[in-house]
Amino acid sequence: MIESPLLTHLIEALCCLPGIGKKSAQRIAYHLLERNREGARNLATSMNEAMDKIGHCQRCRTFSETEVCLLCASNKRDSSMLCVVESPADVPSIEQSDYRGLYFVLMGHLSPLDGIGPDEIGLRELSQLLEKGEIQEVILATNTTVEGEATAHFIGEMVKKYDLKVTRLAHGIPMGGGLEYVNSRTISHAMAGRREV
Amino acid sequence: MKVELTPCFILHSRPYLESSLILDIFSREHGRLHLIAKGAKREKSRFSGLLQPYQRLLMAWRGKNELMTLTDVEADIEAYELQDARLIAGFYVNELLLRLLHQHESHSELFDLYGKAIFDLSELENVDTILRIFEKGLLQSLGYGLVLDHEIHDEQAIAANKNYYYLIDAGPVKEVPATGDYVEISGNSLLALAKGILENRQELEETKRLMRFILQHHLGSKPLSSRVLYKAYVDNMG
Repeated sequence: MIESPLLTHLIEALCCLPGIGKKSAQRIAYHLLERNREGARNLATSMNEAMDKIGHCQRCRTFSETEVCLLCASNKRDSSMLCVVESPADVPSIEQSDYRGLYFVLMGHLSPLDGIGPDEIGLRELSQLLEKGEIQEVILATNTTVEGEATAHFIGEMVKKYDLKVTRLAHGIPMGGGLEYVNSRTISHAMAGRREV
Repeated sequence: MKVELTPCFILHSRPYLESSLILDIFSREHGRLHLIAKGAKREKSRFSGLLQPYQRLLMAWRGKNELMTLTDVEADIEAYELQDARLIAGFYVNELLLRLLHQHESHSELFDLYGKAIFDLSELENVDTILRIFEKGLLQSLGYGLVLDHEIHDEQAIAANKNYYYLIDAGPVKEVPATGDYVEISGNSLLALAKGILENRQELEETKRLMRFILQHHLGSKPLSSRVLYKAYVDNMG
């Protein structure tokens, strides 16, 4: 079938979305053209705007359109606590807990075999932040992968230099989880981290 | 080709498309190879939590090309828990294998040595000794085994109280070599490395220098990223 060049282009462009292959892209393109041109225009404008204006917060490195993100700028947060996470998507996850301190987003983890070292994950900026002296406790909330653990340890050692409290998020059995489905590594961790009741 | 559950370690993994991983694995029977773990990054993946380095696994795969598909995985034995700086030592050991081991070459003795090195890194104190023993065995497996027990010209046994010059691709000699790259080392350190027991500072330092010199020769000019990270780690601790 010969399609209009604009339509072909639209379908190709939609393929950049995660989880969207050629077939789904085609479906989306037809749907928008047939039923929701207004929505599509909206999407185009907001994408344009977001791509142009969103950068990184100068303080915590998360995505932000202002120099310092709203969370960092807020005076309702406890600025003596800093939670270090790997990705911006981890921030809303931690926000579901009762944590009300500040964040530092690494935008990755140490992975020497991929050429990602301390500078790539912003540890220089983190040092500068710690030097300001406001932070009292650093919570290491990197993933429980080998790279995440190495990153946590690396940062932990770095923080100790400033004589601050360093904590690591606990790992163990997920809530509502049956023990029989938990893998051996998780069980070992849960056992090692057991506590008195 | 279809391979049933067989002992493996993951040396490295990287994301592939949205939800999959490409694993660089070291299998006891089949050597180093690449596997694709489809959907491994999904929350409910049956592989999740298992596909980590330093865990001895049983893996099954099938496929025809360079890149085969992981079909099943189980934990083989209890996971080794590398902690603190040992995680970086682990990266180093993995990087050596990634850089020096060719794909699809079976090295079962090296696999066992690797397993032991990872286990020792999780349990024992003397990281330097563990690394030197692994490096020595790695070179041996690759066909670049070191000569540690005799002088290569007169074939006399190494004397603990003498000094030697280790000639690259050859072995220890008594006289300063006129040509070729070499590193100075005491007879005592050569013998200690041969036994795999490094006790004092001189032995540790000299064998480290020897290994670094020989590995550099095989690795070429590109620096090891894990070593760069380790240096940053040490500097960072102040």
